[in-house]
Amino acid sequence: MLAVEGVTKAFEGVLALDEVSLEVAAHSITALVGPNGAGKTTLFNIVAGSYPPTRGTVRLEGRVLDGVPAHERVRLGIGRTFQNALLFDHMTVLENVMVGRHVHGRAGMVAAALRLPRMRAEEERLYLDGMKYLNLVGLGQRAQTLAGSLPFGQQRLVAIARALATEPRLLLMDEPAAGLNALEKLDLADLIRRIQEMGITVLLIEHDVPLVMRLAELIIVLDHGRKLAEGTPEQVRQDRKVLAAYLGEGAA
Amino acid sequence: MIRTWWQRSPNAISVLLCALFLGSLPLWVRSPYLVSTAIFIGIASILTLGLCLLMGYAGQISLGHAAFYGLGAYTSAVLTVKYGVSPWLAMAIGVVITAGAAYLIGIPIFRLREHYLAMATLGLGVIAHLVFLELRDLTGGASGLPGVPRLAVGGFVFDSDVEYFYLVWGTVLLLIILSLNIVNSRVGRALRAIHASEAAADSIGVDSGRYKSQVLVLSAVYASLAGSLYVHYMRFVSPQPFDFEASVRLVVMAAVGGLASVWGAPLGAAAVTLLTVLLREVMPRLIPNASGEHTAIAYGLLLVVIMIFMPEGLTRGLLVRRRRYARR
Repeated sequence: MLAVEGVTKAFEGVLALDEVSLEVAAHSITALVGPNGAGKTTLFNIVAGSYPPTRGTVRLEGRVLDGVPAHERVRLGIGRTFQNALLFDHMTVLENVMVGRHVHGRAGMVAAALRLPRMRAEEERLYLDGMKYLNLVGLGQRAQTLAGSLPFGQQRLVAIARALATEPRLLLMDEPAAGLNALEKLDLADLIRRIQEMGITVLLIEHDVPLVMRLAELIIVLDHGRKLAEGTPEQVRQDRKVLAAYLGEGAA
Repeated sequence: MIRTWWQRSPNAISVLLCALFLGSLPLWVRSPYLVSTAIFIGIASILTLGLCLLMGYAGQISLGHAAFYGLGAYTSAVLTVKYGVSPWLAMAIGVVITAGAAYLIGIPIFRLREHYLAMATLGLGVIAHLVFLELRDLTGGASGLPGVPRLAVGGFVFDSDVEYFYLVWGTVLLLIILSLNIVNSRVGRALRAIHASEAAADSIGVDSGRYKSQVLVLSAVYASLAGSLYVHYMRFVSPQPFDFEASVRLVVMAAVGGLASVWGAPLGAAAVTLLTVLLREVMPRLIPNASGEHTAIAYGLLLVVIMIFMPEGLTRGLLVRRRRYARR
């Protein structure tokens, strides 16, 4: 599904990623873990096209993504959520999800200005689609609330609905559980499984170890910009290098 | 749920009420001075509408909008006076030229953001003003270009102020409707998304660069129309109305009305224009030998007061106040 090949990223001489290669299997849930500053979000940004890698290539289902801008990658099937939700605060919850349907609409400036019948039909459809994705994350009731006034946990869910609305085949989730309480984490795990059942491949960055152990089929450990280890939850749990990185050299 | 048409589209009611109010205005406002002021407010409203879409919705600052206003005005004036082109054709050519200029300017200028974008557009406005001033053979330089013809349709000439009032405000209403439609659409949502976060907008497939360029072109087209309407009313053009101060005044109008509000545009344009007029009348009575500086100071103070008490502009400010009273 996704192949990252020898990706290196340097920011003004500092290596954020150093020759990282990894593969994500279709329909799987894969977790990217590692201490802060390991390069996890940098890797997400490169896959999503926020900036280009210094060296290396990213492929989606065999197709090389070099030079494809971020907004085009959405059309190719890459969706993402951000660590801090990054909702459009002054828009309603529903509008946030409706912009998520952007690539599935066509009305341009002129059609919109003249409110052509074609555009009105499309608007009706975007509205229904928006509600469908909101209901999927259980926030249909909050459709008309301003997104910025929601509690943080719910903002996270709206961000997920917004990303799902693009109909991604690969969803990148950056720390979806951070700041959630125990109950919300259970719901989130459930939601991520349902996303997988929809046929979407999930790649997530997460610090919550129990959640990762429960969800992920494959765990990839990054440390200081390099791939430290990779394997099933069981394998990674027993990996000496991983224990050393997390608990200090002596622990291993 | 069955909803009647006015519940479904509260904007339609507002447009209707606004049309009724404006349509009847010349019947009970007899003062020629006030009718003329209303025409200037209408022209300013068209400019402010474009600026609201650009700044309030898409979040892109322009401190040089008078450049597009002037480009429309000068295209109309030069083509009709020097080349005998029909005013409507000249207006259309003005729109095309201004749109083209905005598109080309958008390519380099949108590499910049926020303060840097403000500085660049400011520079653009200053340059345009200098071009109007220095291209003497074409523009008549500082002394301007007189003899711009009136607008006419068939045999009907818009030669009275009341007739021109209807023309200008008809255009304003039309553009308000178009703008409301854009704001409440897929495109409008994309613009607001770009305003909030370009990274997030990118992540759902919104092509920020393309929409920023489109909205700049649209606001430039509005400005060009306003410029053409202005010169055919004044029947004269000179560089002075298109200077840096004019660009700033437009931003002030947009801010006073409420940046992210289509209705705020005419409200802000009216408030700022009437405030200027009122101060010019009142100041000499309060302070017998008041000069232009006194008026400018009072004007500045009043704007500061408005922005302190209604930071979101008059439209939101008044709505919030009404709700507060309703709750008591």
